[in-house]
Amino acid sequence: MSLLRPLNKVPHGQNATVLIIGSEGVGKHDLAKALVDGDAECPVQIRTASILPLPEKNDSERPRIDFVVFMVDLTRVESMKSVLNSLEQLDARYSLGKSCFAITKVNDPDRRSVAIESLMEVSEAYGITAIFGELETEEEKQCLANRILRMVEVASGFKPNITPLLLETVRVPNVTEDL
Amino acid sequence: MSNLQRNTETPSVQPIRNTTFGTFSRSTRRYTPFTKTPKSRRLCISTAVRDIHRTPTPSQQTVDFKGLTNKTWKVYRLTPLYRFSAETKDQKWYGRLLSSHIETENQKSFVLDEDIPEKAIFSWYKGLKVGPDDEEALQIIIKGKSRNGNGVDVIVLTAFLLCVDLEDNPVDKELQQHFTYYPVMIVKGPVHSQNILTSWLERQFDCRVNPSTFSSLQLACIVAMWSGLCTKPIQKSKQVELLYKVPAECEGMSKITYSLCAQDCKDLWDSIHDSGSDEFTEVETQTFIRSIESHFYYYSKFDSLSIESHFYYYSKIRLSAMQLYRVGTPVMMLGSEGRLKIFSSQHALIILRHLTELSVEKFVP
Repeated sequence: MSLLRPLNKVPHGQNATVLIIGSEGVGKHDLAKALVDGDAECPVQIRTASILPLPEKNDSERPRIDFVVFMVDLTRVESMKSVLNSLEQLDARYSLGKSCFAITKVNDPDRRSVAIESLMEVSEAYGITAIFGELETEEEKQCLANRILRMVEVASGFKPNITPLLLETVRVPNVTEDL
Repeated sequence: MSNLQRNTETPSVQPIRNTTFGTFSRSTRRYTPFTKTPKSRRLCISTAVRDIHRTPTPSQQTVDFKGLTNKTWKVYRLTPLYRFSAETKDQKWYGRLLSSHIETENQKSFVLDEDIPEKAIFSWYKGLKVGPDDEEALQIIIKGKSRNGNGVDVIVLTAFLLCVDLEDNPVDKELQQHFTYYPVMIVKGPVHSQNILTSWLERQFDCRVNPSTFSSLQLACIVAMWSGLCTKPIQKSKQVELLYKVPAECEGMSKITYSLCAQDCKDLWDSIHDSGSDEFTEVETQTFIRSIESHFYYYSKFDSLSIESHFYYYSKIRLSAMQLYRVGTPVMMLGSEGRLKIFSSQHALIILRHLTELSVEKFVP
């Protein structure tokens, strides 16, 4: 079974490689452009896919994936379903700070088809950060991209003495039960 | 795959409101300023009619809501009314105030195509006060001249301020004597008269009147709950309808109407939902609606009753990528912009109760 593994290849050293996963029409290329234009310490290379697992025949030419972004569109249930299916194909070590959810179309609560709470439960269960944002205007795209880039830099090793697991230990969990 | 079952408790456990505010403040602080958190226990709604039968009075059982059925209403949600008095003499006084407001509005603007409103009458509408916290439902009728110029008196606008089976009043205890809370208002009439009514209510009682909107999630929940509600043999003409809006990228098609036989929906819901219990979880609702949509999509192995899969098998259209904007069941029809039509008067209470609950959820004091 070809799970996506974080450590089975030699790291690139100069680039950070990000894989964006999301169903059609969710905005992967917009986000990819914003990530490339964002202010990161290192050049960022982006790959996109609509589902995992990635096809095996190109596996040798692919670089090591440092960070995985799952995009969910709140107005489309299907994007959530395909992301959940892809999550099963991800190696568990990616959830230690090397992946995140990027959730878009948050502005209009009337058009929302995905219950945010079920999304939060999934993010808690897998231990993956959820970042909410929008891709409508340039500023919003840059804002979302910069937040993701902070995590990407740490995950690719461009911040000395900080590992993704260290950041995970200080991440505040989402408490949904009554206290 | 994580377990998405939600822990549900009976509605009698307090404090449900505190949970709402707790999650609301935690979410806005933590994640984003623009989400409004749905209540974590919002689905503890009793679907059974037995809940209504627990509070009968002999006179109420013979009420049939003729005034409410088979008309298209626009649903509004209201904030609490300040200094609303329930005495009969004040009813007449409010009627006079509203009539004079209508006159000033008529002088200000001139609307050609609609009936001209003139006089307002306030009265109580019996039969909708079910729970202990409820207010008596208020009926406002505005009469006027018809636009044909015959001089015939017609009813221009009908409005009801409702509060059906409110579980606990969200207004603070100390303020309850000053504020009357009607969560829902349903109005039928021309737009101009509706605006006159809402502006008068806002000025007179210092409240806010907003049109209710329903998200796709809420509409899906409604269709899951009520598509099988008619226990009598269901007439062939009344089907379960779901209307989807197609995204703009697909040219040539703007919306999809999906009609189903109501008996099949009832069978599907009975197979998903444990019919002994009063409550249902969000997982059951989601299973129901996804199986309807996947019957539309393809015939998959594990949910053999999937309606969405059936649809896909024939049409290759994924309904879950579309936005659900109107649902119709044998008992009622509801659109996301707030248009409601009730077909069955025996289920009117349940429907209005659910609307009250949805409206209360959006209320933040």
